[in-house]
Amino acid sequence: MGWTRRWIIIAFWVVVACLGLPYWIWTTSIHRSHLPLGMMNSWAEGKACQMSYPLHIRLSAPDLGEQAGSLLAEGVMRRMNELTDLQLYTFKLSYNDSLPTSTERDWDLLVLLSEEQNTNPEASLRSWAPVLDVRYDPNSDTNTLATFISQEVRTVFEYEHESLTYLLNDTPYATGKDTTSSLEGKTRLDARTTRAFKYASMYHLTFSLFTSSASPSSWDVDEALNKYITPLLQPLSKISKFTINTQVQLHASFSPSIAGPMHDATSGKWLLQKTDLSGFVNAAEWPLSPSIGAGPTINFVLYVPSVEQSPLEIAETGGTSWLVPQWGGVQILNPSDMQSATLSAGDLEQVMLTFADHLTALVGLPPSPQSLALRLSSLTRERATSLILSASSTLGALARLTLKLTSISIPDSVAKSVDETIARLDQACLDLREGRFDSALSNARIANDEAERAFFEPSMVGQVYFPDEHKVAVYVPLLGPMAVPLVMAALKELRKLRAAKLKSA
Amino acid sequence: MKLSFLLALPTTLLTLLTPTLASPEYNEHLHLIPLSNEYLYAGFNFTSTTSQSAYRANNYRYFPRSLGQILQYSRASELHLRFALGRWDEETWGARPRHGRREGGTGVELWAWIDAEGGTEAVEERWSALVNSLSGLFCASLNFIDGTKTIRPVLSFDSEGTSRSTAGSKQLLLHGTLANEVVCTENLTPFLKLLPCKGKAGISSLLDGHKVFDANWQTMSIDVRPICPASDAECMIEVQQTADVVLDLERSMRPRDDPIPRPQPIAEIECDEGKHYHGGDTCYPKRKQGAKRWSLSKVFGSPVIGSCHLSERNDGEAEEKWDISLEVPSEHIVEASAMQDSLTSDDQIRLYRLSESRTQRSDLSLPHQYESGSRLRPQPALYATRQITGHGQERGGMHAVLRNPHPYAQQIIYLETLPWFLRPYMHTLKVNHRFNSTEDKSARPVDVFLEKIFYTPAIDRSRATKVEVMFTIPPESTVELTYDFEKAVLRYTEYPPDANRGFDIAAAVIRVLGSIKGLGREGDSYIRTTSLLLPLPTPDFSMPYNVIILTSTVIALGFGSIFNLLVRRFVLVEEIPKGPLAGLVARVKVGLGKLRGGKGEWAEGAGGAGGAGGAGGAGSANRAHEDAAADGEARRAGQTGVNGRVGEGKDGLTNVERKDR
Amino acid sequence: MRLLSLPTPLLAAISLPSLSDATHTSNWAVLVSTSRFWFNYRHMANTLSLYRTVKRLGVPDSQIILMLPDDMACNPRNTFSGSVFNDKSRELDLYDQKPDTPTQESAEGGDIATESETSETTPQIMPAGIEVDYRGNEVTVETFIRLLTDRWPASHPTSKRLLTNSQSNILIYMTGHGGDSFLKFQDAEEISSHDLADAFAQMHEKGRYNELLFMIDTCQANTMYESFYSPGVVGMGSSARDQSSYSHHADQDVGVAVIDRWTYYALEFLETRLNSTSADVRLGELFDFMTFDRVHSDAGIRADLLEGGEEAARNRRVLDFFGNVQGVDVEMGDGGRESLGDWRADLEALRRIGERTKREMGELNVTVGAGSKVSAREAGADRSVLPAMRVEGDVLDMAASTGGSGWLKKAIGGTSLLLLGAAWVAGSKMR
Repeated sequence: MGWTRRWIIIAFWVVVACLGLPYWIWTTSIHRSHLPLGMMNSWAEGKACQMSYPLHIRLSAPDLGEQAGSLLAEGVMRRMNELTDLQLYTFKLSYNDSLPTSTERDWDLLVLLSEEQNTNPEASLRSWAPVLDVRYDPNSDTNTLATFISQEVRTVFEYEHESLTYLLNDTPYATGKDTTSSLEGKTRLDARTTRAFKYASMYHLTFSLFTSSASPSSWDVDEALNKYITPLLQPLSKISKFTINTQVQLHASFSPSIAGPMHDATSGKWLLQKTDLSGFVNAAEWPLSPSIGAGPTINFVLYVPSVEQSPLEIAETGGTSWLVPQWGGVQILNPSDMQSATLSAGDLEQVMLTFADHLTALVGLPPSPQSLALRLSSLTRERATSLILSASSTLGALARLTLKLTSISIPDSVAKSVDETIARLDQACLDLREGRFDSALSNARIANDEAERAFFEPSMVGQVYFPDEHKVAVYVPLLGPMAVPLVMAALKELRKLRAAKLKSA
Repeated sequence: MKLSFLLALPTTLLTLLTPTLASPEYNEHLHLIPLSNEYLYAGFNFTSTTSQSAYRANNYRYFPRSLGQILQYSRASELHLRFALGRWDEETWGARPRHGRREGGTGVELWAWIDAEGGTEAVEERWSALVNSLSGLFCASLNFIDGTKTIRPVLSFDSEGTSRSTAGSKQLLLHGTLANEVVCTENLTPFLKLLPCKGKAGISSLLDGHKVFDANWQTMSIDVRPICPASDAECMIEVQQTADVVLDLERSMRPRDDPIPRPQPIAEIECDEGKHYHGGDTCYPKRKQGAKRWSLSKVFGSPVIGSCHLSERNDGEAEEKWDISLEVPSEHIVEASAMQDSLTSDDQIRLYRLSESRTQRSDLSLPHQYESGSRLRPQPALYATRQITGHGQERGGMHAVLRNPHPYAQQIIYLETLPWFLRPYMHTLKVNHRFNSTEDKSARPVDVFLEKIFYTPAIDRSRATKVEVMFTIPPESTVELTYDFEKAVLRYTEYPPDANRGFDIAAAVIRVLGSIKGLGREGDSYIRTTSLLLPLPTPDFSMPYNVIILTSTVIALGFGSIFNLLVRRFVLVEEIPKGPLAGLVARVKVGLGKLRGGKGEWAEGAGGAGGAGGAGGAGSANRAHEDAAADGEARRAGQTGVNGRVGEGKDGLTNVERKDR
Repeated sequence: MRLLSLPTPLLAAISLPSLSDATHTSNWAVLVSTSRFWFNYRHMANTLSLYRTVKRLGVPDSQIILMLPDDMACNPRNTFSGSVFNDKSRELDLYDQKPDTPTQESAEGGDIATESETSETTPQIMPAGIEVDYRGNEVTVETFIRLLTDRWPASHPTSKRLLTNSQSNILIYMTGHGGDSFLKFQDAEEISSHDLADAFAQMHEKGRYNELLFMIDTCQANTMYESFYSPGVVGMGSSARDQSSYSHHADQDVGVAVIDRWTYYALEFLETRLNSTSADVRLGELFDFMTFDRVHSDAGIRADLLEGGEEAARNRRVLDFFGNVQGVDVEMGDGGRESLGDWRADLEALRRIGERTKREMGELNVTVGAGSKVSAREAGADRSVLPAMRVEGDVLDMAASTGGSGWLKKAIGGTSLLLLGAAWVAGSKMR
């Protein structure tokens, strides 16, 4: 009899415990997939990878003997690696007197030695090949030559090393002491980084012709681009892809927020104040909307003032072109007297060259050394480094985020991307250390993309804040009246049990 | 008929012109018609073309770059986008301009032919890319056009473009509507930005949000289509932007700083002496005769500024080649300032060309005319209305009436997009007609034979219903199309913030096939009904916690009683050993009862219940229920002259003992 | 000396403007009105006034995110259709100020005139047109949080995203009906200060802002920024806890109040003091301008999160948040010239190299001219597939969570009920 009641109560409690609670927990819990926080943090703190850049320099001297050449190579290599201010690099020199064909490239710099009677050694860089020509006097001794060469090579890589250390500075990857030389150099690097776009695997180039009057209403842009821009884009496209689009806009007026050009009677010119340049581009009316698709848009604006308002110049410098950091370039083309409806490729030459100049600055091509090929390869290294840095910092951010916001849900896709990121980062780091810079870049790129995707996962929006008093308001009316009878009944039964025990005892 | 041909100009004439287009070209045109009742129709038309090669190479000149990029990104070969506001009054204004081909239902309407390569999924992805980027471009929430608002019409729309059919390049037509979208200045701004002259010069300088959106009827359209001449000359891509407005002359000519109509001083009102009560103190205002005086600068707020002549115009005297054409009777006086004018061959339409200067302000002004300006407008192909019938929160009916005023039969296609929460019963679909002449409405209407029906049922929360019916309306008769539907109940989160306003049902699109008149595709005309508001049952959003508390209390009650029934035992009072306290209480109560007498009897019962409660001790939560129950019992007992006494059970259980007195 | 010549002159150009803010290259504005319906006209007007101001001060439309939950300009109740006014003088139409004389001369119109000056000059300084990024039912708490944290499906248009980086300052202005540390959206849902704080924290983690000025005009506004904890955030509010913030005045013809006090005076300050893009006005002056007898409530600020505390905040230029502080690098004309000469040579060589490699690689790489465009189109094509696919994914996920697992839950719920019933039956049998 009494047992029936007990069974009933027990049954109720069983149901509550075995069904109610799990169900309640299951419905109210948020899905958070497991993230390798330890790995992520170790990347963020720079423990996971030690940056170093082995450079393979190839010495080639047709008219120097085999062992003499290798001797020279060793000498140079010793001197190079003794250099304290290029500690990020490790140099590996090899000697090979056969001239390499341009297809296979397993070296970063080729030093071509050529004899020249009784001259003190001199060196020059080829501007579009990673080749350093050294002319030396055959009867000068190897040591001086080696010192000379090492000095030359050093100058070649000095700037890059500086900017690399600048990149690594005040990141966890920073290598001990800061070797960024002067304040002057620092400001220059500051300027360069603020000017250049963040790295993207795809840039959209928009060339726009704005005319304040109705003419010129067209331009021979295709030919001009093919002649002056695309040759530059081709080597750059190893680092990121580019799309090109152009447009013509007539009756373009200045933005109302600037004073507008003032006519200077003495010179008969129209002058723009430098303060007005930032507001020159009439963002409100000129259709410079960013292009569709991933990647930033680089704008190149060619402005043709009306004949009445030309020549138009910048007051202080008398220049006609300027560059807007992380946005694009602007060039004023003062109409020639014989105003034609279309601008020929010839008219556009100087404009396009300026734009090419701007473009290199905007994609962050280092200004030195002089050889474009070398600058490209050093850009590859810099980009790879910065990508690794940003990816690992993103990982750190994600890790901290997941710990901080406990109410946010973490779908499995995030975990997957994170794993992918870490794998790629390892790969990239390895590539870097082994001097495969191109593949390092591509790996770092993927790593960065994956990290971004993980962080910006659309379904990871934290649920709207739900304060505790609301929870009370929801649960109390439901659980209160149901829990009390259960608890009371249970207590009473227990008391009775004890009473019964006492009686029996 | 000539007139309606003119109204169809943009389509007809351009298809005639296209073979001659070679270089990228732009021209703009404004067509003005004074309508009856002091209304003015103004149809703006901006057309620019570019060669396909330049388009593919992303070299844009007059073709808007932003639009071109979107189209290439989403691989749409032909695009039609509509923003519409207000209602075209067929009864008084006659046939719609441009055969209704350049207007949309209220809100936003969009249909496009998209590259079908890669299967349905790919197409849907392109479509979503298209609507999203368009929403960014036109500041409209087009991104709400998802699967639940997208349909695939079969009969209603034909591709306007002529493209060289390259093998394997299949195009898919998708159509979406946003009936609840408000069209306003932020949609006009990007519209103007697409124009080469940005609304600063030429007729586009007349387009001012304040006037355009003060209109009785207004629609903006953007149509992109490829045009391939029959000869193997290069294909062109044409973008045509039109903005049609019907302005109330009276209202639009009010000063902008004070648009509120105020009573005129009596002195300025001219009275109608004809009235018998006319006197010094009473005045019946005379109805104005003839056409109002108006001028462009007054109606649009500013004169036309300069001109936007970009392409070297080959002076074919086709109307399109002129900037403005005005349709008034030849006897009317029109003062044109700074414009070169001319007449069409049949001197029905006056043509004006703006001067080349950029700052020159030109204006058209019509002084007050004594005979009414509006000439007879051509009759519309159909009169169409649509209503929701029925009442209540659960069911309703749709009822569309199509009246054919013409002496010939007309073949039409009736297209409806219904949201998923409106569930039509297709078995109740009835289409029948009766002749306009028949007097007695009791005459049983004749069923109409439905030649074709394309019907896609909705899927909850993922697909809309599409109803596409093709039938013929007999001459001079009225067709009624009716069906019943059921209203679904939405989830709490699915209601918009203003759910009580109701849910918009997109306009029905009616295509009148011109083929029956032998006009072919160009003869087709479109008519759209007004959109509808569907009221759905809406919960009280303001206080969710009340709902929670109420429901959980009910649950708790149920649970509590069941539980108590299970775990408690019912016994007779005799079996209850009287505790000292209880006995005392009972005695006191008996005393009280004696004092009161008659009525006291059931008060005693009540008191007893109270006492029991008081003596209850532990477990008062559920005891309370029991007391209440017992109390109720006691009352009833008392009222039926039966006295109940209540005792205290050993485990707090009470019951009622009955005995006669 | 081709590119070497580039940076050295640039130094001059760079160093001059970048002294004040070397870390700050772009300005963004997020302007949100959170209340629907006609009688909240003033909130729309508040937001639009701010929109006009930042636009006037040169922030491009692509960097202004404007959220309007309802349409006032074309509202049937609006007598002045197509217009929204923030003052009963109705001099300035906030929605679309069409210049009276939109000729080129006037567009370049001389020096900047302030709004309080003659109404002829007012239209000219106001850029015509308006671009609303989020409107109607799009304006929800979720949208706002997504906007801040930039968590969007891939097909989301660029113009509707907040594409900031660690070098951009953000101005966030919110107005609506609020209470103690919450703000109502469209009278249907609330955003709480904790949500905002967390969103800012995420932005900070990802380096999505350099400094952030948060302005809010609502009742008990100051409670909204109390729970912020991310560095670099400056908060400004219109009223203290348990204080209402009031509307300034009503327009009889419009029929409702047209602007709130706090915003009104903020505007007055901005219009009178910042009448050109080169005006050097500090944030502190703006703080001090909001006195009690102006605003009729205790306008508050919070600057302790900013490095340097309140002093630093007071010394920030107002244009660091309201204007477009875009540095420009001006090249020396001559330097440019001779470098261009070398460029010509270089490009020549590059072209030759390009042709050679083309000959060598043959099919491998077409010239970038065609190549890039082709790749662009292909990329465009398959990108138009891929991201969209992700969108679909999300949609499906949602469907699943609402549909699939929903059913599961229903089933489980049902079984648990059944079991309860069974237990009861069993119990009643047993006695």
